[in-house]
Amino acid sequence: MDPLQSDASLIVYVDYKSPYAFLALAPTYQLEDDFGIRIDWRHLTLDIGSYLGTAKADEQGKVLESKRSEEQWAWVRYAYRDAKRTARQRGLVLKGTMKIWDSSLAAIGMQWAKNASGDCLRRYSLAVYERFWRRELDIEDPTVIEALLAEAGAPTSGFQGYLAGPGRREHDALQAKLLPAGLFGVPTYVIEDQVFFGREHLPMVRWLLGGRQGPAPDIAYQPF
Amino acid sequence: MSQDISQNVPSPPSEAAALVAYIDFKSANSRLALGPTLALVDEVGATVDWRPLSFQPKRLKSGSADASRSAVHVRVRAEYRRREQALYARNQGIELIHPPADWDGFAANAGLLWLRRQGAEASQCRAYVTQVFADLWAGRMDSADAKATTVAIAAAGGEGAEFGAYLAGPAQAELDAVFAEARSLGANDTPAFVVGGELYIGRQHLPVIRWWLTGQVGEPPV
Repeated sequence: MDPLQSDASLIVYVDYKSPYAFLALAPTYQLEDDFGIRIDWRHLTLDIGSYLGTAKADEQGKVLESKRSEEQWAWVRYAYRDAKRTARQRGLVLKGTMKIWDSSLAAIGMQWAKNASGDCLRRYSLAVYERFWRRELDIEDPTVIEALLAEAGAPTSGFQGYLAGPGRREHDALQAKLLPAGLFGVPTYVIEDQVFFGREHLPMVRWLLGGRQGPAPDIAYQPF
Repeated sequence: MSQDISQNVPSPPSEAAALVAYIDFKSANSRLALGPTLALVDEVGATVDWRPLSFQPKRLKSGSADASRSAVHVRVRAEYRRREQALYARNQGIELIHPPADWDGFAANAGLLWLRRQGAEASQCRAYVTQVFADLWAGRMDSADAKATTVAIAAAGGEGAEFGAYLAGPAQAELDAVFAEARSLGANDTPAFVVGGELYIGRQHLPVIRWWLTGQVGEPPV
């Protein structure tokens, strides 16, 4: 799979363990609804430790162990503060994570749901995001992922084999191509061979999908 | 967040300002925020309390054993940021010629504090910020030359005769105090805005900043 090519008009890279990807979900799905397009959703499984260090905290947020510099902590603290504020204003629940999760099983579940149908994928992603950010979901448990797929209406026969075999290989092969292709974070939008990192580019993505009517917009967090 | 953000800032502008904007003259994102920020405050009739804030070039250390992957990540992210900034600069119709990577912005940042020390009006601070950003990022300003900053101070209506002495004297300590104050609020990049007791980093927040400046009518646009 070419990370920058698709038969869909828009590729969107997300990661279930990213609060910013969670916040981008609804306004990004709104693109599908408003423009009648199909989005090619893909998972970019973040290696957070490679750029923001690692840490573990308890349920109250007390840091139990940390391999982060002060600068990295400053970034993480502001990111969560910003994301929680936005979530609160939208009526979403977003609790800070207590560790850096391995979201690759949920990502392979995403591939499976996507193969089932776009509607299955939408239901699956909504369920994963909402429950994970309420701290109600163990996304490292294969049986949990399978149950979510069933709930989303996807057939689950053969899923565990897919998870350990071709699904894992497909996931890992794509991940290996992303950074060399210039893709490093989520949400990332790929449209007309251009890459846009962050939901602040949704005005630009909408402008491109809408045929470049009027002046090109600046970046902005805004509802549509 | 209810900290007093003005205790370490010398001589704030005499006009009341509802919006505090921390900027770094060497930051492309600060440069790109200038026009949209001015357009917003002009539209709603607000003033900006401009304050300098500077960071060393990003050196995100690896928390991973795979330091080479971390280095690649930092490089790819930086390359992306350059492309993104170039795109939006073109859309805004402004030049974006990056100053030398080793420029620390000291004189330009100190110039803003110097104006405030003199009790400059908000309009004078705005004029200084506008000219320095425009000249620096168009390659018209020698960023290492304190005389260029003195010229900008004078153009904004300030007195530049003693600026050299200020640079050699208390400027660094005063800048450090302002930087420390901003960091204590959680500002880790620029532009950083403080309005309604909230901190917002990045011009993408201007819609919600407008909401704050216009009386918080309806739901916040997020």
